[in-house]
Amino acid sequence: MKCAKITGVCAVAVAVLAFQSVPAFGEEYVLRAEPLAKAMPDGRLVPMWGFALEAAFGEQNGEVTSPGPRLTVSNVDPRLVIRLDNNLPVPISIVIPGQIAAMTPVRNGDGRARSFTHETPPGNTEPVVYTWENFRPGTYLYHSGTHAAVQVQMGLYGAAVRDSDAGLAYNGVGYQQEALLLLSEIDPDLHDAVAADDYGPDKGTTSTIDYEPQYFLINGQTNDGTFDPIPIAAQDQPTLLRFLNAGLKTRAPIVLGMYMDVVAEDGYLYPYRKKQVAITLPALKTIDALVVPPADGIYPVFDRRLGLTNGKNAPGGMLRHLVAAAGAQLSVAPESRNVLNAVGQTTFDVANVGTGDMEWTAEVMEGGGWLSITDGSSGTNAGTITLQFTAHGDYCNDRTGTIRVTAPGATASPQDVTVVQAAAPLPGDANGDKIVDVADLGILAANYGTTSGMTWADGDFTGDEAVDVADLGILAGNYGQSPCAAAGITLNFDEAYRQTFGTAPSHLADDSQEAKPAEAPISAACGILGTVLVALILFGFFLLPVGCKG
Amino acid sequence: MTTNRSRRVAVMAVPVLALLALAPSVSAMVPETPGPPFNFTARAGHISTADGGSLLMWGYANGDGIMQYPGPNIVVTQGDLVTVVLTNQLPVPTSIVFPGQVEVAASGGTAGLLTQEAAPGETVTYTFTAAEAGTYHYHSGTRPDLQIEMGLVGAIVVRPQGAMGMHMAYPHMGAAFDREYLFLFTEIDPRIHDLVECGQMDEVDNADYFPVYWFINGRNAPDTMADNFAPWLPSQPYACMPMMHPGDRMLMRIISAGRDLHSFHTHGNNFTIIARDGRLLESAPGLGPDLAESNFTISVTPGGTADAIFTWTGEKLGWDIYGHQQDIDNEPLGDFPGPGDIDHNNDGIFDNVPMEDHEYAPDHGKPFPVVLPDVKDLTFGGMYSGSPFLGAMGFLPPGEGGMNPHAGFMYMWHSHLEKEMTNNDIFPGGLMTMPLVVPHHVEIMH
Repeated sequence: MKCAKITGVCAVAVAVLAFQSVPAFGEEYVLRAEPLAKAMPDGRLVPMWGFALEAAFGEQNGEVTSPGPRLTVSNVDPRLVIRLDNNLPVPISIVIPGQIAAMTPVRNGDGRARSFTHETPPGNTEPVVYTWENFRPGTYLYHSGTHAAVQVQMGLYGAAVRDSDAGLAYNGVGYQQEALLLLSEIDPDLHDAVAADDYGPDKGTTSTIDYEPQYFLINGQTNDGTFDPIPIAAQDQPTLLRFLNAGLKTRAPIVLGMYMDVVAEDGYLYPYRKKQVAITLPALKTIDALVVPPADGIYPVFDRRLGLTNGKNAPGGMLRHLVAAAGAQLSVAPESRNVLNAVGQTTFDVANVGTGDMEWTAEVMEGGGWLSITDGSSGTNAGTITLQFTAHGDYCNDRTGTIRVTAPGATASPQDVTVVQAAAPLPGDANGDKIVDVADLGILAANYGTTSGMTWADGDFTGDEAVDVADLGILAGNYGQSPCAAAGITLNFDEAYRQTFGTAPSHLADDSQEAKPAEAPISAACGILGTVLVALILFGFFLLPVGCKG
Repeated sequence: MTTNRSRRVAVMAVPVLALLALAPSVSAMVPETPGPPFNFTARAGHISTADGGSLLMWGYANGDGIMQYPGPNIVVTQGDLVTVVLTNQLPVPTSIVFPGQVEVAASGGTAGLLTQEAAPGETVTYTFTAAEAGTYHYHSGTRPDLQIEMGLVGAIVVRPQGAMGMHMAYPHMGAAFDREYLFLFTEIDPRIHDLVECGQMDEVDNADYFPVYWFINGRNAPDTMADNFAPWLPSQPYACMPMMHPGDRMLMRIISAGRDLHSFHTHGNNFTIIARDGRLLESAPGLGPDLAESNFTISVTPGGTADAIFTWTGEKLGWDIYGHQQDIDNEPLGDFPGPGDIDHNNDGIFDNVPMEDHEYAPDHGKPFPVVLPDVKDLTFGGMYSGSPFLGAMGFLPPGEGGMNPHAGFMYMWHSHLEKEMTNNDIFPGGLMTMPLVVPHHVEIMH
């Protein structure tokens, strides 16, 4: 009786608490599970299953990724709710090892457990809800609890974290900055088998016993030579590294250039910190470690079990750079773009390679007449600046536009990058020396009659890949033009022609060719006229000195 | 066979100990490479496996010497400025990284993912201050997936400052040792070496890695037990045959230089892990290894190191391996228990036979519990002295034994991933060695 009374009191207390917790202030996430095709650096498209973060159930517009989105539980309210939307062909669920939740396993007809907890059926029209009322602080993996042998390796995993207090991962473990390193592996053959419905009893692949990963990823990214840096706090400031292994094999992350103070494992704080450079990270394990860079700079982190290839290609795999920099650090790449003289677009990438957040703006400082920002004139942290430019009509000079990116408070700000647009090519100027002269005629003559594979430098000024009479006409029409410098022509066209082709054009005047003044404009019509004239030359009916006065 | 030799041993031990005191390098059993500065050359060569095979390797040579596996031991003192000049004579770019060393400066060559790299024919220089005592390693920072496998690894030992001639792994008495040995573990998949030798490097598949050779200090057992610099192993100069006296604190400097975990097991006795990755297991600086762990297997994280103290005394065998005669009742002398008589094992019987250094008192004088079969019913190993007692010789048939002249106690230490005790499927071999405990009067020389 005594016991019953106490139980009753407790039940009332729980009911009161439950009542008080409505409305819930805990974190609520809507996740949508869906197939995705992940491109590997060697071009292989791997069918995967991933999660997308949705603003609301049914919106179906979040980007599907594997690993799925990071779930952060408030350090004030310990409640985590996940509403699941399943666009996969199979039932799925979500479990978080290390966290207490009401588990209701689902069994196949023969009694074998299929799912550790209640399932979300394919194509559900109402969200299926998974709730953790008292999320323990720490670093954890969430993953599918249904047919986990298949679904986890297909990509249904992600990180769920909760701090014990603001800026405090655990009691006594404060940090300035944090970085998540979620390690995973992909055996693409298994993925292909699952995607092709060739996985299961009596099918081509019956189990994961031959699991042999080919790709090794950190935060869903292999090292393909252009991996994103992972920002950490600046010199002498602590950064919490949260390591998680979602793969099926033991990994050994190692950091060069500094020590890790390993503070926790599976979300449980060690009584003492362990100073290590490498850690053993078995499947499903999470380990938290503090690093304090002795100086600003780059600290590589990689898998010392040597998952450092992409298939047979290397370097690759689990390798990233931890970048220690004071606060936000602006990076704009590349420093310069070279563009052609025609109308077109180009882009620059903006990134924050430091810590914290950075607001930036971009403006054209020089070249506003021909260069304009069509997209990305401002942003937060990473972004892309898109620029449009007009055609360049000047034959003589390249032109340079300058774009200034300013991120107030960030190091390396402002930064100027340039767009260099090449000068327009002078018609008839095969060798690009800005003078149409005998040297160009020589090039044209050497290739005359070739009907394919020709370029401007070979004497093809019409762009038809052939060097023919049309090109000769253009050259003739502009012969002697040197719009960019004082003329240095010593031969008139007749002389040039004679020396080049060995025969004289039937042309009488020898004083008709003079170097044209630099400001002489050259028109397309002029070229056409030249073509006509040269056609006449070739037929021996030369009538007039060749030249254009516009 | 059971004789009381303790007095004789005691008499001999005095001059031997005096000699030991005068020769501080006697237990420096990690061979040292002259330097700093160190001039290494990365080049190709071949090693011998203990089953008679030969493998193409890429390794670091000291100066213009031959390729060696592992690379030359870098043994320096805390505070030393360490310069390593690497000249690359390999057909591919290469480099060195020094895990656990901070602010390593690299100059020359071209920037790689982990450090500056030397193209074939180029030279690159690395400089760092050996800031903290400990056991570390170095390896290639270029294509580590291939180049560590090919052999570009080596050991670093940083000795503490101010040890004043004492043998200390770290600046604390809890890290004092009598002798030390290096245990650098690696593994090899020979298919990779064959592909590289045949110019098919691009065919190497990291994903189906399947090693069949396992190494301590670049040698498979039983070659692990040959001498340092054994002339028939020119590319594998470093041995691992731990020798000790009863009670010695033997420092095991363990380096996991390959990619796999190896569950290394010291039969019969635990060891105490005092440090990992060159840092004492201490709860606060200066306290010494108060967080030390006692274990009988150790799996060091690849890329990591561990320092462990192993001590053998014969404790708790339940019999007296030192071969003292059974307790002597001195009553007939009429002075029982007379001066000098002690009841070592608390059985009510006193004697005046002194204990060995480090002997476990409760077993003092306890008889060997087995009646040895007749020699006609025994088979003999080369290491058997004919007696179960340490330092004692016994009857052996002609042609038997003879390889253990000091009648030491020898047994096996090995990877407890049992298949790693093979050389390409042939047992015994692989990641295995046999430590030897010899009586105190025997001087251990290396």
